[in-house]
Amino acid sequence: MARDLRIASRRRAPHVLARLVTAGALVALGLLALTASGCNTTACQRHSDCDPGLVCSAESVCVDQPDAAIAGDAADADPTEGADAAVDAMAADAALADAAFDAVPTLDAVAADAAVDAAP
Amino acid sequence: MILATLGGTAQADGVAAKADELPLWDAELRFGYGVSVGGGQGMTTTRTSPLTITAVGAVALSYEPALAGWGGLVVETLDRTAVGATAGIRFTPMLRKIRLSAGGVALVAPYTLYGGTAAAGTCFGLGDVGLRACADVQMTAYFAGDDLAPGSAITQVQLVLGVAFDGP
Repeated sequence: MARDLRIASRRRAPHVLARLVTAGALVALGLLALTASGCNTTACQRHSDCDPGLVCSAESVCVDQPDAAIAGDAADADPTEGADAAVDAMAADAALADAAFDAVPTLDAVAADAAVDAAP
Repeated sequence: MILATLGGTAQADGVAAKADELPLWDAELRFGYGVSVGGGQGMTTTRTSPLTITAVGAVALSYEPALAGWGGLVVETLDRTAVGATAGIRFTPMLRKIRLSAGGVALVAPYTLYGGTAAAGTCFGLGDVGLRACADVQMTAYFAGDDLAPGSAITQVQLVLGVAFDGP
């Protein structure tokens, strides 16, 4: 008889586990309901959350497709591009300055030229 | 009285043993609803998930451990309409009193979403006709697809209620 009771007890264990799982599911349902009550229904997560013609931006806001494309282009743009151009321009200016410096005759050269011109 | 109690226990165990048998196949219709958490680029949004209706069939792969492979169709509805497919593996330890599932899900129309899903739950027999009522807590993570906002991922936590029919 004791053996039968032990077997019955062992077979009851899964039922206890099932009840625990059920209780867990009910608690999860309550948490879901609480969370859902505080949901932000205006924020989008998918493009299909938005009205037709709109897409969901990276900021979870529905925007017009062209705006999203522009925003995407801006995000994709190389932020160092402008700085590179400025550096290139400065290099060009420096090259011009060097050329101008090279083009300026030195006093010795001017004197030499004058001496050549003065020579009979 | 003790004998009567033991007799009742034995009879109940007989029914339980029958319910505990792993069927060769089963079919199930599930309804899932919960919350959806989206995140990306440092911000998180929470909103109610779509109502997910899933029709799946499962085939036993092994008796010990109790494994079954499952697959079927997924439909999302309420504030949208999307269809796709899902498949995975189910483990039913503890004499089928609990079940643990894992798999993948793909929504393919009108937009695409790809992700993984995991669930834990239990089922209760409904009479002696092979029907069971099931309840699961399911988590699904979508991490790819053209329906996702740029740079984001979505995690859904749903309570899933279903009715399953056991084959032979």
